[in-house]
Amino acid sequence: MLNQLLLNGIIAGSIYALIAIGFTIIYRTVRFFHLAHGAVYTAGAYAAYTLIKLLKVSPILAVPIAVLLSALLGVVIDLLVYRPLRKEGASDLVLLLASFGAFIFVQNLIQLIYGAQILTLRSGEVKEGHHIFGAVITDVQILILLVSLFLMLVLWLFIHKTKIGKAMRAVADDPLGASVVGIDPERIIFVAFLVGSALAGIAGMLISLETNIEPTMGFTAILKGMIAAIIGGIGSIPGSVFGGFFLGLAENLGIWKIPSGWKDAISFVILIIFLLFRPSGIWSALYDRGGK
Amino acid sequence: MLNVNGLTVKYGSVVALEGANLRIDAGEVVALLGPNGAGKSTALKAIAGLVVPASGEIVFDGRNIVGYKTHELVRMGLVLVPERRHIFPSMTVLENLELGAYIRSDKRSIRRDIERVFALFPVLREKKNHRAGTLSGGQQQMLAIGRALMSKPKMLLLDEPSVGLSPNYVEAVFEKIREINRQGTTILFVEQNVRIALEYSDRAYVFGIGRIEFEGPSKELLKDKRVRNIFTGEDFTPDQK
Ligand SMILES: Nc1ncnc2c1ncn2[C@@H]1O[C@H](COP(=O)(O)OP(=O)(O)OP(=O)(O)O)[C@@H](O)[C@H]1O
Ligand SMILES: [Mg+2]
Repeated sequence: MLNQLLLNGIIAGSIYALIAIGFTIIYRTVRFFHLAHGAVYTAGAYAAYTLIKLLKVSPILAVPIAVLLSALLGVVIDLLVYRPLRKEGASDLVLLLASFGAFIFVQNLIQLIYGAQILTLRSGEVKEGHHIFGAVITDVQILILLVSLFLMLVLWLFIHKTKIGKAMRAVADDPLGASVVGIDPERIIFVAFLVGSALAGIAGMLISLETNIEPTMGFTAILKGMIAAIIGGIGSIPGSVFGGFFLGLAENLGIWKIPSGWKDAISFVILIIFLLFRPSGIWSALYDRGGK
Repeated sequence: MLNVNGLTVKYGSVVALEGANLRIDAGEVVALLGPNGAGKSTALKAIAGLVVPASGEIVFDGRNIVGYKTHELVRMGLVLVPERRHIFPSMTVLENLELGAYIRSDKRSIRRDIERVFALFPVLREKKNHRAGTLSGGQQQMLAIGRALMSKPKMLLLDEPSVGLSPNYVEAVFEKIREINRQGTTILFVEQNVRIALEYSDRAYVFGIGRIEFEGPSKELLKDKRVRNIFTGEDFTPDQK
């Protein structure tokens, strides 16, 4: 039982971490909470559904197309909503409200096109899982775990080894310092939305292999992603990974003792505890880089 | 190399600088001095594209650069070392220098120029794998200057490079600035310490509140009564003509 809950926590955590990383990459360059990130996650799931189920595109082709569409959706939200506000010198609060507006807009658009009913991307009979350490893990769960870990590794290499990745870290560290070395902040923001939204889209697709999809699925996702980012110390990429797994494990271990209906409440209690006692996150305590 | 004509900068309705005229020739070292709040930083920020002037003209290398973004000016060879340095604290000294060369792609000559910066500031070589945030104030200032050099600027703007440094370090940093100038970079800097500013510059502009009062060769200004008033710590009150 305990091992199963641990496993479930790790699987859930890897999805939370993916959402939180994308959210954080964007946050680091624009410095406001891009709530519409949740809608990009939803859109990723619906894009995969449309391509695979409705258009019968082979998954090998459908997945990259859906990733690309998610990435583009994030970029388009930035270009149409945030960028004009940025030019006007809008406050973070205005941008936050705009991001909420964009979230609702995209979510309603999806609902308008596909209806509010639950859809499913899964096909075929549910296969018996593999038994390890007294827990059961399905092929889909293994896939989720491997893809998430792989993406985290690729992302780490991207921001540490490539020139554009280093420029992204520079903007996160000190935007003025970045502009005096010749980095165009708009270009970095573009890349951040592209990469961050691709991650959200992939997370949405991965989860739709495991559960049903519905237009409002992005709401819980962005809440969990945000909580994970805050636990990790907002703005820190390794912190977001840590926060994602921490949240996934806490929720799933929590229901060992608490009725499972309280699962979402657990994450909010954790959020409140963090905001009250450790607003800079745990990661910064474990790691001396001050959350960077 | 740089010509500023009738530069006026406002923050909202507050006029921070009015009708400033500056001229810096290629190869010169020019200082801006004056009391707190005079508008010296504002002048540098306007030249570097960080604030948009209300009116006036800024001509760099024959081109009016008003409206150009900071990162575009870096590509044209006009680079600011801002007040409080703005290095990348979570990144290593080496990464900071590499980012200084962001606009360049010639890997081999970037390596060579990093070696040059290390030769100029040996302490940076010792600390090259340390995170920049862990350096002392003086070392961070050297890193900020070194990082700016990595883009191969034609003209370097330095805003109070001596802030927060111990007196020994101040002289050392200005010696390095002199050396950078000898290697061909034109320099415009803001400095609070009048003696230092005049010792290490060819010419200087003296600011009153919100405008430039007078200018002249630094050697002459060292003897100038109006400047000496600031020296002795008396209030700097611009002549009311
Ligand atoms: N971002 C800003 N918003 C509003 N007012 C500003 C801003 N920056 C500067 N000012 C005002 O503009 C005037 C000129 O400031 P500036 O920083 O250019 O002076 P300075 O000569 O560099 O002074 P210091 O020696 O203190 O650095 C001051 O009155 C200052 O309060
Ligand atoms: Mg100043």
